[in-house]
Amino acid sequence: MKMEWKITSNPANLREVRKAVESFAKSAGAPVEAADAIGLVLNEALANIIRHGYNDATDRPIIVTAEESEGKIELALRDWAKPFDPAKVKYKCDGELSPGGIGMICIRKLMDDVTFERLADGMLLRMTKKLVH
Amino acid sequence: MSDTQWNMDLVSTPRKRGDAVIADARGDIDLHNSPELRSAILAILAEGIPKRLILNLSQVPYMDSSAIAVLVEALQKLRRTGGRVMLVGLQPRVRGLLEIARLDTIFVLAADEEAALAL
Repeated sequence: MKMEWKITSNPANLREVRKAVESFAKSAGAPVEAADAIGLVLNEALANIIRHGYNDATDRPIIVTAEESEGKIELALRDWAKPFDPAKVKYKCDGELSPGGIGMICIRKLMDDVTFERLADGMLLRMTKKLVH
Repeated sequence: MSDTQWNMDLVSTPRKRGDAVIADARGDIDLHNSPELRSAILAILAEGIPKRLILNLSQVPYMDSSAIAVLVEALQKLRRTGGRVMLVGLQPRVRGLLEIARLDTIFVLAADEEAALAL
């Protein structure tokens, strides 16, 4: 089972594609908690692309792919934004009064495998969540 | 309150109870509408920093990190004058995000408005 969404980098698109991917995950057999986590992670990853990759431009392309196979769901986000180095993300420390890096914290904590691939003309983010541990 | 306008579908007109200002938010809040949440909260605070800002989130099923950032900004402003931000009626996804971000201990969380007012 595989689905693809081609969207622009407009924050108004976030809710619709998040809900579509949550529905996809549930249809693929994900428990509600896992589907919710996938939706949140997708939201945060898209928001990072919009804010940091595309500098809040609302008309740039993003392709979201969701695929279920062998008891796991893989999300792939393709953008044509400026290169992103996840190693340079500044994370908040425990108890620190700062929202810094929450999106990346969610991605790292809620997904089982995360890879950022730097392409010649953008980035490809792949994130996998196992449905059964 | 001032003439400052905001999306009242997202955040209600605030009301005062003692030293607390209470506002209700409703609906999913993400990068698309978190600027409206920010405008509403800043407008409330522009009227004077209360000792307690109580945000009723019982009608907010979902929020993302951009909304959390707005809440942190409000907390930073209130802390300068010894005030507190109290979040009440958190739904599971919102509470879960606060816990993931390890911000659940920074805000005062309460089951409902009365519980928050009693703290």
